[in-house]
Amino acid sequence: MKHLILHAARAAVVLVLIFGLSDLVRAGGPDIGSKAPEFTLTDTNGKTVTLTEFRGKVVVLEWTNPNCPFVKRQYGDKLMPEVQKAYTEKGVVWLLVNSTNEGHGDYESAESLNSTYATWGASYTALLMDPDGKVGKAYDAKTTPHMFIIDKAGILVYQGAIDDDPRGSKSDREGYVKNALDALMAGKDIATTTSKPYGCSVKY
Amino acid sequence: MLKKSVTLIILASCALPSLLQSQDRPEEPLVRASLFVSSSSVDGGFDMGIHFEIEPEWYLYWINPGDAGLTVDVEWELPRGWKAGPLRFPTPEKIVKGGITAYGYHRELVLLSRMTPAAGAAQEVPGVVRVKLDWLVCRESCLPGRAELEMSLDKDSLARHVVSRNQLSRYQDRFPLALPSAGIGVDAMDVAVDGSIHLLRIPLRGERAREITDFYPEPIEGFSVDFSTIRVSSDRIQMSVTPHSSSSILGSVRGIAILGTKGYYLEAQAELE
Repeated sequence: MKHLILHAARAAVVLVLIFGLSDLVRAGGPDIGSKAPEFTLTDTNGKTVTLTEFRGKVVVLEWTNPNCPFVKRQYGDKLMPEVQKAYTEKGVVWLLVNSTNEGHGDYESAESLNSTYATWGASYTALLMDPDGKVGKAYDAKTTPHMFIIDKAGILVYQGAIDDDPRGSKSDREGYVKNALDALMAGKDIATTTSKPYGCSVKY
Repeated sequence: MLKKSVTLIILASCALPSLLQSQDRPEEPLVRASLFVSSSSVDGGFDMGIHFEIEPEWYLYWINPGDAGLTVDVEWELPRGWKAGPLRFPTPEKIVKGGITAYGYHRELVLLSRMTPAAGAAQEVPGVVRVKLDWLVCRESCLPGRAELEMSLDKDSLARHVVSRNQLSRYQDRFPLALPSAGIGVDAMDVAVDGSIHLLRIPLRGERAREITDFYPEPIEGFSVDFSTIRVSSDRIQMSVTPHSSSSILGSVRGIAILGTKGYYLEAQAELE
């Protein structure tokens, strides 16, 4: 029996070698250039929102948690609201997603979120509740903020940070989301399609 | 008269004080930072250390924070002609919560940098080393912090800030060693492009390669590492990374291989096409 198990283990190693790396180490959320995962969530006003209803429009997903210092800075310095306002006025659909689980100290009710983001001057299409983290996991959202851009055909074209300034100390920061949206709307290639998102971990 | 030395600790002040007032502010700072030196003489250079004492359960981040978080930022201001060597981080812990990987330190963190004095510094009026620190400390939630420290380089001050040989040795034990010292070699890294991601394979040589249990990569310029894909087997380390743009070129990967409780520096160059 022991012998058989040893043989089976050896065979598994050989199979792994034959089938190469991709079966072993590929993981995570959707690739750039692939279809963005569909979802149906309830927003903070109790309305059901699906990704498919926005087909034909550019969609931005912004993972958020109002108790994260990085999110607070982005809103406190008006960086996020300015980008939101500029592009929602151009017809971009902007969806905030909160995947904080209900048992976490950072969890906020829908009413509280509405109030906080209104105070912060946020401009968005809907603020979506994802307390079980299903949509966050489907996108492999890691941080707050973590940004995703989906083109009019439902293809993921950017994922990563809002900009290249995690500490909020740069005077010449590169706005990755802004640049990607400008390129997308001008029909040009997006130069930076992925960046490392920065912020607090999503509180799954 | 020798300039009076002083080590200032500006408490874990917040980068965003006004924004953090809504959170529970602990009575005591979560992180206390101080400076120390390895020698009471500047001749020939010495190690300068930054010691962080961290409240239980909270942690600071390694040079690669992982999926989220932020590394400790250190900005030296040295007397004219002095040089600070690269900042060295000890081997971190891997902290996985909710599928999110972080690399960091609980309770205590010591960073070291080799200081090289200006020529003839021992004969001159002693200067002052200043350092600005900026960090993020996390538990369930995170808080940013800052401190500014300074230390005079006169003999009295150095003598007050020098740590014992035993203490220094205890700190140094936490720093990674060179991989060849474990009898392990690294061959050129194989890079396979699979759609929008790159699959990396780092071949290992040597008897003890099978003892490697994990690999903590340093940040890779122009690429994001998917930490959940890191796999170690007896003869290789594998992981997937995503290029940030079509112009991202992968030259090498650096990081720490974990053998038991020790870390070993590893660097793999990409195989030339």
